[in-house]
Amino acid sequence: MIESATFHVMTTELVVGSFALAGLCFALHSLFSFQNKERQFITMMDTTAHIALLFGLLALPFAILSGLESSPSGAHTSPLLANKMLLSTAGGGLALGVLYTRWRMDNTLTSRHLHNLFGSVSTVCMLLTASLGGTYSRADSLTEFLPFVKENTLLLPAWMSVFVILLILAALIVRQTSTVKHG
Amino acid sequence: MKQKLILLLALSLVIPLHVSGNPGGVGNGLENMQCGGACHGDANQNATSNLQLSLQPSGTVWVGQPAEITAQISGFDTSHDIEKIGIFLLSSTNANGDIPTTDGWSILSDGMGGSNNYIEYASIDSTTLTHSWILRADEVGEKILYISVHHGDNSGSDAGSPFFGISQAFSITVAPIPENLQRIDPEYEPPTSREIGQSTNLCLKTIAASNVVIEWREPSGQSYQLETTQNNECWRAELPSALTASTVEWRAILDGEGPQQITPWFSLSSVEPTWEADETALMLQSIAHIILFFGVVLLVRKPKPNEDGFKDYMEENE
Repeated sequence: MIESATFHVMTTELVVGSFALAGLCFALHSLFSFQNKERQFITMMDTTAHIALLFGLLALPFAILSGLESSPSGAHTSPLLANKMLLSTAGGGLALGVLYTRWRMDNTLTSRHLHNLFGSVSTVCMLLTASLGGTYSRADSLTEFLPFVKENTLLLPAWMSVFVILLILAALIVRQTSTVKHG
Repeated sequence: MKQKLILLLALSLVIPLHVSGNPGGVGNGLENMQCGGACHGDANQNATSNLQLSLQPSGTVWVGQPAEITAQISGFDTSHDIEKIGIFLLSSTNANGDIPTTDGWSILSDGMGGSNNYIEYASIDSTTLTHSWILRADEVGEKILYISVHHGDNSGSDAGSPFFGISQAFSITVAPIPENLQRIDPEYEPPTSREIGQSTNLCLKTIAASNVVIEWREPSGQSYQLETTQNNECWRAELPSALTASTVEWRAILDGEGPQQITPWFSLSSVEPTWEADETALMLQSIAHIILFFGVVLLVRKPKPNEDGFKDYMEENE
């Protein structure tokens, strides 16, 4: 039987590779759009970014769950692990939003750049998460210049998290209702 | 464009990667030789360490009793520029199943507040480094132990490379214990760490002991003796709390029918209180993050007037 730590390494590599490709393609998509490059390149970047993002997103739950399983004492016992957890869920939420909006929302040129920005921020969140993993397991990573992510966590009280969840859900429902009436 | 891309790919393959292992260390832990090949990435790129490694038990190793095993690493002279060093205590050199616990040993103390076979020193301040583990053997006979080191070295022709060294095999004889000799219960596990400000209640289970005295010493070396009280086959004594992060050592002096027995020094590290957050709050915040960031991406965008998004996408890309 494979150990959860080994499985975590495998799934994290899938997530990091996919998100890194997606982030690169999002950035190139915006760059090519600015430069008015051939439409073929722009479409290629757009499609590759979203397929890579989808693939990374599919591997993400496995990476998070195996990461929790391989931690001997749980994510709540280390600020570094807690930050990994919060960053990966933030990146996951952004990626989910980016994929959803690609199919369902308005697609003007201005909103495409904003879309690409969200996709790139999602990649940054995932790469930072992976880098914190390096700090945790090997005490060495590219983010050694960010000491605060190792020692501090911005942790909300439980009631505030519930409030945020309800607020966003309410805003989405109101938005959906409004779209149905006026769309 | 295509040519530039090919050139970039070719360059990235040609430029060799810098190999420096894990300069920050991997932390104390239970590790096989070379961490099973993971400490320094590619073990084939290791340079050979010329430090001298030796190992010896302090006195007779009785079966079921704690025994001090001391490793000595020498050769840290001016020809080396070593900042950090990792030391392994191994039972074989296979790179798997090497941890002494797989060969009938229990690691009672690693001298650094844990029970690990791999420990790291952040700095070296003399030409010889001495480190002790407290082990317990569960069977009589001959056993083999090795010492291995990992370190960087910023001097010499291999400066900057990861260095690896392994000792010869050291044979340890585990002897049967005389029947009525006073001793610690073979199941006893000494505490290895505590939080700063916490005192430690020792409850030492023994066999055939008529009296037990606990002796402890500060990091400075000054030692004190504590009388014990017997309670439910357990000799009790309280080690005072530490005010700062430090390591005190203690040992038991056992009287009985046989000659007086003195255990090895057990290390007890006082560490900063561990960080701990509310697990439920963290889980809720993680869920809130998914919904919040998903919602933000949706809410800042205008909805599409036409519902058939997939059809539009296909048409757009044709």
